[in-house]
Amino acid sequence: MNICRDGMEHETASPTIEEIGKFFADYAACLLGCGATCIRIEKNIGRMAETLGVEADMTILPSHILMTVNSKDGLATWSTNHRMHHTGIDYCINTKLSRLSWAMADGKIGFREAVAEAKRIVGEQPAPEWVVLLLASAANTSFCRLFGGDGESMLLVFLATMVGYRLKQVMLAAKVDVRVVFLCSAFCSSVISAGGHLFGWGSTPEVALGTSVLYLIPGIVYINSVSDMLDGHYVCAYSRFMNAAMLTACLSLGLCAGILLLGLSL
Amino acid sequence: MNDMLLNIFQDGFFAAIAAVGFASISHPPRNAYAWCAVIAAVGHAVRYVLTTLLAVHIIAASTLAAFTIGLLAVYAAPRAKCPAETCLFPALLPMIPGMYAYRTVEGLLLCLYHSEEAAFMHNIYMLAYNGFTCAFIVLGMVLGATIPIYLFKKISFRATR
Amino acid sequence: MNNHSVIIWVAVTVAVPLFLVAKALWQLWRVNGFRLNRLFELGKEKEIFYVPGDDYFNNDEDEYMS
Repeated sequence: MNICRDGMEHETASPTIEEIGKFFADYAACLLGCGATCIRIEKNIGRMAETLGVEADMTILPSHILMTVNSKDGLATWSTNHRMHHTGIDYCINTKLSRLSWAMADGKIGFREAVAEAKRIVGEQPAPEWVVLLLASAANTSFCRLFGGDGESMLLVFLATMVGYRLKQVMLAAKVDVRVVFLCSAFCSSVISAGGHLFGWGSTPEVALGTSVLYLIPGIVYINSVSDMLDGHYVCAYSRFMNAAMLTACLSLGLCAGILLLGLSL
Repeated sequence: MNDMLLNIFQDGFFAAIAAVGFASISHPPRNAYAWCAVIAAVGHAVRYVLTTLLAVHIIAASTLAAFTIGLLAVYAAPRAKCPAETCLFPALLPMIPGMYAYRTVEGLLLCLYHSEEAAFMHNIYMLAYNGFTCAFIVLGMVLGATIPIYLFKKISFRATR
Repeated sequence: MNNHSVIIWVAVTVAVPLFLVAKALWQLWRVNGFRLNRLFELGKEKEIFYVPGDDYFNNDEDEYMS
């Protein structure tokens, strides 16, 4: 494919350096927003740049992508700064966008089809909320079992997680600050699961109380942070770690508020 | 012996449910769910065996179990046609040490609450011990899980081809 | 087991689920005549990718305003 310096369309309708730059910046911003590691973003962009016959350099910052695309002969260049798209961690989008980069590298689709396909991928509906709600509640109940909880504790944790997670979904949809959301959800879950202590339900009330808020811990963000650190992207690693630590602190505060308000000892 | 096998199976089973549930929060592709469940079950069972039967320290056990998970995830990635971290990261979630994190925060709050030296020193010890253990478990887990991805770079970065 | 603990426990355990159920019912009632995507709170109505020929700069304006 020839990159035209003047942007004029030739018979093969080659993309201009501006179109490529904007697509790469959007693509990287989407991948960053859906929780991909920095090395994956770099590899995908590098692969597509090689296919299109350009050189792409980028700086991955916590909330922004600085993308510069140069033509191989060095005569055309495009530089842009894109804000990250906060879509929440979504491995479906991550997988499909990675697949898209391979499809372009293997010559299965052209540039314009790739742009349209990327747009379609990002616009897809995620799984229904109630499915995620049930699965997350079942997961936290299993956690309770793994930590040695008995049947009554597991039931309490299931109810506490269901209420807390649904509250989280509703508050996030209402665009409440995510830290306040975590605090409120942790507070609700901890108060509900403290019923074991208050009324003597089950023989392991402390396990119920302790595991009732574990569904809120941002595990994937911690893991992404260490992964970025191993790859040398220290700025992103630190920012992801601080993000996760902030959310953990908020949920701990919610848990402690619940415990203190009910007059239980820590 | 039978009891031990039953315990290991139970541990793996509940870890699988936990992994699938927490994976659903990050919306993986459909065919990754089954692999997440299997990988998490094996990894958690490995950690259970190492800590209870062989009395290995929790940090080393978590690292070895995470290495097993990483190997399985690299094996699963081309078959599920998804990046290795899609199967890997949700499978690591059941192993994240929630209790140590709580005791760290609990120790911090009690440090601020108590002013006499004996209680304060005890809480500082709780804060430091639990904090370090938690941090090194997570670090060890991610190191152990990421090493196979870098060892088998060709497989893990071509999985979605 | 203090009285005030029980009161707080009952208040949270009853009020929060009631609020969530009421909100779900209210959304179901409102969906007739409203755009269906409100029910699923799709945040992806905005076009993210630049397709050559699209009016790209509108989206930037929205981002500045929010």
